[in-house]
Amino acid sequence: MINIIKAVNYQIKRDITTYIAIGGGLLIALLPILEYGVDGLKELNGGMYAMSYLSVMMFIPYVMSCLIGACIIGKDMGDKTINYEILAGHSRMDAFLARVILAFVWDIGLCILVSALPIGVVTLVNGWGNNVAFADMAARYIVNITSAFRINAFVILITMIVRHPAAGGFISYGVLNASMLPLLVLSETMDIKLYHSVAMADILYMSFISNMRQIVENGEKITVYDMAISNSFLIGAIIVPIVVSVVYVVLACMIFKKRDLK
Amino acid sequence: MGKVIIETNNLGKQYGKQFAIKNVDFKIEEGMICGLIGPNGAGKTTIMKILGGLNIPTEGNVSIYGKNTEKGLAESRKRMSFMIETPYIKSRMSAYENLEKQRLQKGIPNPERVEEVLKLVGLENVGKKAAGNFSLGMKQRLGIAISLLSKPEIMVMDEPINGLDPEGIVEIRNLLLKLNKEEHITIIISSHILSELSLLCTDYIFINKGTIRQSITAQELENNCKESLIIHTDNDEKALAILQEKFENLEFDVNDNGSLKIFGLLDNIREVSKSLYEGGVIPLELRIQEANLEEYYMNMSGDDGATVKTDATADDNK
Repeated sequence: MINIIKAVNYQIKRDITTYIAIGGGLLIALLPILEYGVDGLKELNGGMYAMSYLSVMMFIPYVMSCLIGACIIGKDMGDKTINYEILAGHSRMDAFLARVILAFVWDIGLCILVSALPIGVVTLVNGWGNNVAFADMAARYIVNITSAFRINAFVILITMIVRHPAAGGFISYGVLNASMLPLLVLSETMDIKLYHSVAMADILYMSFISNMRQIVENGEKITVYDMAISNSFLIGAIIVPIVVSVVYVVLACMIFKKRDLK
Repeated sequence: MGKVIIETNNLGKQYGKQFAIKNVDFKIEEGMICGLIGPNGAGKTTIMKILGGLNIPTEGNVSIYGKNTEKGLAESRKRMSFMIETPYIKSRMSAYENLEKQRLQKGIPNPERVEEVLKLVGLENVGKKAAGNFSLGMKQRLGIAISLLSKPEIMVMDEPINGLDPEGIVEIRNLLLKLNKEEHITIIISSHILSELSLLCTDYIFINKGTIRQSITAQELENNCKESLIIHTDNDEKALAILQEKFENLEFDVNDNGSLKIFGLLDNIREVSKSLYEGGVIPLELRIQEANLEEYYMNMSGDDGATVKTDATADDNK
């Protein structure tokens, strides 16, 4: 399996999609510049950057998964080059697991890079600040990563069914997008939040800013955001995506193992 | 007789209610160059895909190097290489990168092997170009290069000379013959260009409509194809009796139309016609026939053979 990982990794590093994803992600990370302006950036601390970035950042994983995950899983099936691995005596399980591992590593790695790098740079330059507690924001970003796992597993399953990267990416993107609509309607009209229900649920709820207040510190008015999440929510947001991800990956594996390769 | 390295037993593959192959039994011995011959849709590629583990048989089993479990077959495939259908290539990657990816996947430690095989198939000057821009012939060469990368003991090749120019066909033929003779690589090859196969193969498997029609060695085929005298008279039964009486141990065959196919009397045509005349039989047709692989195949498969190309240039427009 290690040889397949090396070979597919070699290919990913030469795939333009990878650089589109990294470039696009970092470009999104620069969006707050538009909001604050170059001069405003001098007063932007890490906490405020993370806050401003939150709603955008929360949605990076699923765009990233649809792009990177679908490419890693589907490209070699689309052009049949995955066949060489089976023909060379690798088991289907090895060919499948190698791609699943790479999809998770690249996807989660890029999500962390795209989110942590800009926030880290701003924090290093201007400090974290007092607008939001670091631990509260960190918890939200952890939830985001576990949701990314679940989304990635979903993209793997869909791409394995359709056996084509573009189709897998678009269908996954469409389904994930559509799944947010009932969540938003229920949340806005009836104040019902179906936590952990679908892959997008926690991401959606994590992007909401619930409480904020203004305080005076050193004679200066500052806005303080209460972004804390309950422990029970955090545990659910970690366990449920992991369990669901395992189910998706097992289903995808069964499909890959039982079907003929074209 | 060489050691049997591949064996199929009652192999079958069914898609819905339709059989792609059925009751396929054959043996491949070490050192063979075995030609798999059949029209489009006969089941050749399905057999190759089952050997390679891409398709899962619905009936029977395959044994390679004596192993027939999933794990054992996967292990045996490490000693083989396959080129099935059009070579699978990454069109945006260069020939070199395609080979490098396969080198990593196969765990071949020596990176210089990539350059070696590029040179072997004559792609050394275009190794850095995107493979998607290659002609069909160049893609075929790249596919062959991928097959050669791991120095296999068995090569399974589906239409490897498809799209190659005449010079390329000769090069690949010589390369395969060299690999077989010098490296003792066993080759299973399918092609529509039967004249090419006849220059390569030591054995043939004729397949049609998913079943094996005949497995035959090149020597047996040569015997079957040897020159014969075709005799058609106003009374073929009587003609046969006359000739059997005149010539001892007469070697003959009766064609579907009743005409006689006589072997070994080509030097006695005068005697044959004289005997028939004296016996009161009027010859309607008397001619020498020499069959080759193409004719043999056509005779065997009837109308189904119509899709088979009979010379190298026939595939050039593919």
